[in-house]
Amino acid sequence: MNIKSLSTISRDIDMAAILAYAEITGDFNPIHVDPAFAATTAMGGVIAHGTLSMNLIWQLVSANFGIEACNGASIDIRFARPVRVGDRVTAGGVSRPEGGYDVWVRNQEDVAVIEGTMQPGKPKAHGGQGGREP
Amino acid sequence: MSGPQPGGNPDACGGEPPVLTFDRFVVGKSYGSLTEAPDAALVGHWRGLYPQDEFPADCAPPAMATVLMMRAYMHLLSPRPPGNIHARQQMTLGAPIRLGDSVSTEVECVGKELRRERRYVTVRARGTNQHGVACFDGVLTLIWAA
Repeated sequence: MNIKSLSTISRDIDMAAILAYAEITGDFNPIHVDPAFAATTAMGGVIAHGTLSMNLIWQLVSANFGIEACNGASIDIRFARPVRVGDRVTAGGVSRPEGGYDVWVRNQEDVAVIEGTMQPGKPKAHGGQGGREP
Repeated sequence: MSGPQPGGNPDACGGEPPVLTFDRFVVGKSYGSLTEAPDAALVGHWRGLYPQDEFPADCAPPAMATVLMMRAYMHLLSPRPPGNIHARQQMTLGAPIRLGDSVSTEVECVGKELRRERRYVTVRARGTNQHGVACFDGVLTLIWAA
């Protein structure tokens, strides 16, 4: 299946989301969870975990190609800019002539916070504990 | 989620391990593995965070691989200097992770490099289930703070 432009997925990034993600990952770096500390850093305030937004790219795969396409899917992304409390981020992508997709996560100002490429997996029948190896 | 297994970086005397600075990284060294079992409680937290994410009831969401990778990174490469920056992520997903699976994530340093006065550390995190089947393979590129 080839989709020229992927259906987008958005999420509001508030402090509650950052704290919930810190709980899930165990990443309580004060740059993410301590506004007083974060204000003293070069970032000038709290920034969200990069992978909190990156996960939206994986969700693009399942939402656009079906969850089976996650098996063998790959990404290569860079965290281009920080995501701040109060941002609304949107993940999307377009097909590349050479195959795969250019993907991004952009904030409410349409500025890319994550950029890179994504290749969906090729769905196949599987059962038991099978699956394509990375 | 089961508790983490011992896998830190204690010093020879059993005291607090030294901070894992750039100079202490050894390219090619495995820093151990962390085995965890995603459970319904963790998936419940995930659904609260990403309510639009759809996945089978008996499985963890595909992106849970990211969580397992980050938890292993946090646990095994510790203590870290404050202020590290996650600059790049390469990752491939493998077999679906089902609730009750035990996923072991091995963390290895695969590169370090000084570039434009920045300390780049590259870490590979590979997760396999209890059957030895690969669930994910991730490469984190980090700018190390010290």
